[in-house]
Amino acid sequence: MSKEMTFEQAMLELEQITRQLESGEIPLDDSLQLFEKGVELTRFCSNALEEAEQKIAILTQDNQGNMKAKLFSAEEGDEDESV
Amino acid sequence: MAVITVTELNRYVKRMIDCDPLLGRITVKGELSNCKLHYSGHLYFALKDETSVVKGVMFKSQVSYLNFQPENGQKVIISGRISVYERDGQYQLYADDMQPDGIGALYLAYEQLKQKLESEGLFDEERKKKLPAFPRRIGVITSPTGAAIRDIINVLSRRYKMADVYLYPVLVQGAEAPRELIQALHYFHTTGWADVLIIGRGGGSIEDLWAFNDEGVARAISDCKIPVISAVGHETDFTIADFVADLRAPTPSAAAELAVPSQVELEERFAVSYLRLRQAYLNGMEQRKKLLKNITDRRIYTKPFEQIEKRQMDLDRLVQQLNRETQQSQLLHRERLGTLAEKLQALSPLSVLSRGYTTTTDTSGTLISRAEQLTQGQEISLTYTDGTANCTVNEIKKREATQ
Repeated sequence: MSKEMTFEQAMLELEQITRQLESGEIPLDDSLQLFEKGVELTRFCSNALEEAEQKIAILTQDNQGNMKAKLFSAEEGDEDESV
Repeated sequence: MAVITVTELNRYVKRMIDCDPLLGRITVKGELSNCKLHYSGHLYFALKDETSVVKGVMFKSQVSYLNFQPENGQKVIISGRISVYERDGQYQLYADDMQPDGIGALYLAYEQLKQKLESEGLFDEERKKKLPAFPRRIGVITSPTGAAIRDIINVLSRRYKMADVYLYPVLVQGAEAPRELIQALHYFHTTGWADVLIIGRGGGSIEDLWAFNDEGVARAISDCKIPVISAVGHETDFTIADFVADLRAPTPSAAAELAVPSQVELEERFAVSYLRLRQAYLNGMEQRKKLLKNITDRRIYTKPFEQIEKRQMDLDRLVQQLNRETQQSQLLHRERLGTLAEKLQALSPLSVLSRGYTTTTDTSGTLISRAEQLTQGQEISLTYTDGTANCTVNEIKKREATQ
């Protein structure tokens, strides 16, 4: 499976494969292949969910006016709403 | 004392009033009544309080700058000057500017901006962009120190870890807030650095939330190519930003919930999806087994010799039939032969001979059946039933032809 495949694509393809199999109109040879592909996609999606590590960043402007992202923790912030 | 005309009097009073520095630049508050927008474009009105009233006019050029629609009963603050309308001897307030007065002013400006944007179609459902099902990057435009960002991060980190969160820190209240909000929206719009945006802040007074009623902010949200979820204040607060956003969330936490799917639900969905997949595959196999069985159950496979046996029987029957018919036809022929033989027997010259007749032949064996075939002295042979006699023809007597 392509590394660049997005979660969304994987979900869509999985749904499509399941429907195809459910239609019962797939030749036998293809149906085994489809099944294997579907299992692979399921694993891919589950892994993506399990292994996901969320990055939380704050965008700040450097001297040149370029936006830079650095890690952000809300806990460090001041409670005051009006900055 | 000199006698003057009315015109001279009015002109004098006008001049006196016009040169008064206080009356030349004055700000008055009161309630509008008798408001009339003349077809010329000038606005005529009276301004009153509990006890007094003054007439006023605003000329067309100033009316066009008004950002609200003046109405009777409205409390307003008017800047302008006092002068005299000479013909009527009436002093009037000549208004240069008019603003709605008090907290009602904010509400009015809000209502009027809302109407304006609505009439432009900015709130139309068909303009709303669809949120991505699985965003990978979520842009959050809010204060980095408020309750809103904490709530949003809490929900996002609990609900869905597959999306990264990028906070664009902005002031969410005060005079600078609209500019910063617009800048942040513009940043995400131009860089495309997010799949979905959450813009908002925690609860506050109507003045605190005011930046989200800014026309520029509203237009920036509307123009943004990335779907925007608004989350301003509490459930009951409705800002202009909420109306133009692609989705309004009642609170910042709710915005985070709306922005992403639930990871737990997704995992459940995969479990179901796997079961469905497996079931579909197994069903497919089962169905094929049935198809195969339907075929192998046919007689040609269960009783493969049946056909041959049947044909063998057919053949046997045919052979029998052939034999029978051959025998019958032999019988028939034999009978016919007997009959023919009898007939032949009846016609046999030998049987005629036995009754005393003879046959005459010449020396070459040719049958002579008529006297005219004979010549005198010809050698002929007479055949009897028991032998032959060679004779010579002595005399021929022909019978007169009677036939």
